[in-house]
Amino acid sequence: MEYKCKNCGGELHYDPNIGKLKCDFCGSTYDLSEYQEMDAETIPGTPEIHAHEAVINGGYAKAMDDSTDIKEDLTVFQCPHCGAEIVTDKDTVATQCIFCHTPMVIDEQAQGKFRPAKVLPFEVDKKQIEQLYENYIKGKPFYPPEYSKANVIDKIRAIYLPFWLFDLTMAGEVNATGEHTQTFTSGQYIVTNHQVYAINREGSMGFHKIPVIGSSKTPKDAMDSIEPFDYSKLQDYNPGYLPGYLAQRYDLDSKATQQFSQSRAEETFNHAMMNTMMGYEGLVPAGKNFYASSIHADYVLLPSYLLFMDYDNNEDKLIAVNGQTGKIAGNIPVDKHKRNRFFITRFALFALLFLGLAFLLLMLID
Amino acid sequence: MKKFWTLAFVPVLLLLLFAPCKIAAAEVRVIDSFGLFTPSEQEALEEKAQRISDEYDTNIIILAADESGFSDNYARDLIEGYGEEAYPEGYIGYAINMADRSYWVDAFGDRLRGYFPQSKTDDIADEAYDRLSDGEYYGSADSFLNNIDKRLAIQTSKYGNLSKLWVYKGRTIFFGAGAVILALVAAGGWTLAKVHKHADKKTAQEAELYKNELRLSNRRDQFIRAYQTRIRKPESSSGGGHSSGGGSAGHTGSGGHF
Repeated sequence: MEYKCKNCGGELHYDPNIGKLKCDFCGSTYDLSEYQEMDAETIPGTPEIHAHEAVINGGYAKAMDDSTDIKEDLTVFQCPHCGAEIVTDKDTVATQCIFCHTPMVIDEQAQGKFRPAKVLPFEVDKKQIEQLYENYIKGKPFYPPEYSKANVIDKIRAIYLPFWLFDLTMAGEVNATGEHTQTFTSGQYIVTNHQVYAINREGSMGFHKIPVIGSSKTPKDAMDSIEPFDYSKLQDYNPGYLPGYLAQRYDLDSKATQQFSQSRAEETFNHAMMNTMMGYEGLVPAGKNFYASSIHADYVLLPSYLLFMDYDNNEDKLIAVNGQTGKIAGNIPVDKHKRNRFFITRFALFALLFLGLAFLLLMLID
Repeated sequence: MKKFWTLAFVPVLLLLLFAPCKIAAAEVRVIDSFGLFTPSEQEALEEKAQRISDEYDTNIIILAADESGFSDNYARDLIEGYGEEAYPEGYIGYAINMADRSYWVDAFGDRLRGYFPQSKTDDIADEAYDRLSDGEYYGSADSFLNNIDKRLAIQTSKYGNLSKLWVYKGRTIFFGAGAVILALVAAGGWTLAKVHKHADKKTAQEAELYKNELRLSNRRDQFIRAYQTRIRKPESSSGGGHSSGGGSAGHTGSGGHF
């Protein structure tokens, strides 16, 4: 699906600053609702899946590439603008033509069970990302030159990632033993009276929208680290939010990701239960029994910017940015030369300072 | 002719002005009437004392005796009585009296009392006592000489403004090494803290941001037993002093019994 300007026919993309579709050629803007009712057949230039190359497989098109031995599930589309054939993986929902850069939404990939319930629109644009990244990398004193803003800014990609938002209730009980003590002095002895208690707590705690990434291609630690998202701005899914961005659909369903939300909820519930036992000394947990109930998951698309860096055989390549808040998370490699230079100069300064102080002290001691 | 006298007179005048004018040469007396030191020890003490005496133009007395008296510390009476008579201009002295097992460090005369105030004679006496209590009489006298040597070097600025650092080389090296180690730790800690800032990503373990209030349906705290523990109070250690100090007219000294 290509979103065309009704005025000049140019490609539209979603502009987070105005919250509308915008044409870069004539400057026209459109509410998403103007395109909401249009289905794939009514929008001019909608690409058709090549019938001879695709077979229906679980709701998505599977490519049959005769020329190369590609084992992955691929889908082939034709760019409505330049006619080039675009090959994407089966999880791609929005992309752009690699030849003419026309933004496209592959609506067929987001149908049925893959249709998100909600989408959280981008609020941070590429220009803001430049400034945010510059500030971020300044906080990493030993970053390699390859990570400077000028070197990476063109590699940052805006992408809607598939998340599961879990609502659930944790319930159960915790048992522990604890002591109250009183200490006093009696003759030559320090005497302590100990009263031992068996402590039991039963309760429940509700959790609302714990996010878990639904893509196996995106590292979970990076996604966890750019939390939180402001869910009050979640919108009903509309493909009109996607033009101009990449978008992925989930390849890990709610059952596969449920354990992550549950373990996080369990940890928080356990802490809350243990906090009700404050005031005891020598608290020793004696057992717990937790269970999750009322589990419900919503499939949503959340905005992020991703930067994959290939540096010095470093396996941890991903830097992630929250597309709503601008929060950045990454494990930036350490440039050893910068680090060593920092250490040596600081050591020299400290040595001078401490030697000076030491000798001054020695001179003052009579 | 006038020029000749001028040329002859100026060097003589300069010689008179800048030549060390020793009115009376400083002396050393190491007197061991009890036989506390072996001949070789006495010779070593005399040699060291003479060097110090020559270097700082200071009279030095070391007395070892076995004399009974009525005072609380007879070593003090001995050194003060003998010293004042022998060197009325001033001296630094050390006496050991085996009869009442007393010892005394004594500074006499304005110059030496300025060099050796009460706190210093206390320090020198303390170190001498450490050796005496181990039965090291020679070591005790040697320690006295070493300490007055250091003190005189500092007071006369023998090595310039940094005499103290040079004289107490061990202490200087210790403090210097400590400063370097501290600098290593501080710079290393700072660097590690900076390196640590490079890693932001971590897997979330909790769901604090997504929780509602905890609802407790049951809260039970059941008393099950009691017991008592007793620990003996640590005893406070007590120790007695071994030295005393004080000054009589013109003297500053410190000593005690061993």
